[in-house]
Amino acid sequence: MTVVRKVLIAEVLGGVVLIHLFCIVVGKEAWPFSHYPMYSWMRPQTWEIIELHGIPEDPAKEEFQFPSNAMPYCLRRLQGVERLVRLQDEDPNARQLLGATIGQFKKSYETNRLEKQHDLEPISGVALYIRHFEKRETRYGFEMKEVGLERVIASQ
Amino acid sequence: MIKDFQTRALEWGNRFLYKPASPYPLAVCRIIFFGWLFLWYLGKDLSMVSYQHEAVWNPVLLIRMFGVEEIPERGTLLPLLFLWRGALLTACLGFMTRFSSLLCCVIGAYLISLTHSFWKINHSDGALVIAMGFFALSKAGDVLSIDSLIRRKIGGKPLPVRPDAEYRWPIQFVRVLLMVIFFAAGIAKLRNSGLEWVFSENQHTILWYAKLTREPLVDLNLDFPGIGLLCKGMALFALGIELIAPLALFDRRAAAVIVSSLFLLQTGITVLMRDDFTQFAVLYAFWLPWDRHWPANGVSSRYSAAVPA
Repeated sequence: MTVVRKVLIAEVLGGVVLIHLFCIVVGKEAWPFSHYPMYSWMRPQTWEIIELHGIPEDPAKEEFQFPSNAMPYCLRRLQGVERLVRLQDEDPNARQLLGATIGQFKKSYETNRLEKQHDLEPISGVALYIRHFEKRETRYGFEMKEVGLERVIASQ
Repeated sequence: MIKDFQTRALEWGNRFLYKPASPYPLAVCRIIFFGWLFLWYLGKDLSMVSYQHEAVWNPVLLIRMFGVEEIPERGTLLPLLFLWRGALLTACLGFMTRFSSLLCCVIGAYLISLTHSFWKINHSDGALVIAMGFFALSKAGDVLSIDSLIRRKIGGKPLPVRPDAEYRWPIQFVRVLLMVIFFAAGIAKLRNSGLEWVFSENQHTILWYAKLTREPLVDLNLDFPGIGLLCKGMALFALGIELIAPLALFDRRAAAVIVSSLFLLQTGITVLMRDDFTQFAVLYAFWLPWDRHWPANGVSSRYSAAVPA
């Protein structure tokens, strides 16, 4: 192994470590480099969890929460949808965009169904719900109790 | 004194990265790494990102660097996905190993970073793409590969089985990468929450969150005497082991304790919180003591009979 190659390799490793250190110091993401902040923030005392429910084509059937296998791997995280829900109060367009966004989930659900990725029933639309939880004291500590389910919007 | 320290540090660095090693541990890591990722991503249709709506499009830096301004069509992504899966397989088998690894790195960087471009970045795959880049620079296909078979059968060249620094540094790179990641995670907890992250009800709350939203593999009762203390103990263990993770690079016995603890920690997270680290877990393979089976000083004599004179 030549000295030049050794130096080059050391510089590559140094570069990778330095970029990570930079991300750590400034607390920013530069994927694939990161400061790895997962689980690092304190959890709030109340939660609002976003859920997508399928509206069956058959009106006699009840809406159902999407099981994880009905959601493509790369669409399972709903942070983008969550952001639009929060923006609704400030941005009048946000609600319209929210409806269009969850409409895309219907398309992906149906594509996956036709490609036999899941065998759930056909749907005519998707409804967006927020499930609310609150912290309640118990004998040994606390529990998180569901306090409500709110329907936000539905796409057809 | 400073000069002495510098000399010793350089000597340590030289040994750490460039001490000659057998080619077999690196080849085994290559097979496990790419084989695992091939199987893992086989069932994941990353082209489905094109179903996201542009309202939630928030491209990461790398995607902007690729010059992508809109969500790509599925028809564009599908061929790339198949090409990528093919490259993962050929890199695993050691066919055109460097080129396959390079393809894995570049296409993987593009496809995976697309999935992070919707206001949520996952942290279980960035290191994998970086490791693919390390493989693209390495000589991981010198043995246990189709390339070596082709070289032997067609090219008539001898098998390169001599111990060399080239077979050591890629494994050390991945080890450093893994430890930097855990150290960063520890620092992030201290930075964002301080010691309250350990000494509050936070860990208990995290477990409740997982229980109610993610269907954990083990459905724990979270309301029993001592649960608060147990959760604080778990949080202390997690933070402590993350902060001392880099020590694993300096001592073999420390490495055994730290790396197994980190593996235990991530397994616990997967079981109790259903946060999927299974593709990331392949990086632990680089910490297994492969060199005990293939010591550098035993390679030449062991395989010399197979090497044409």
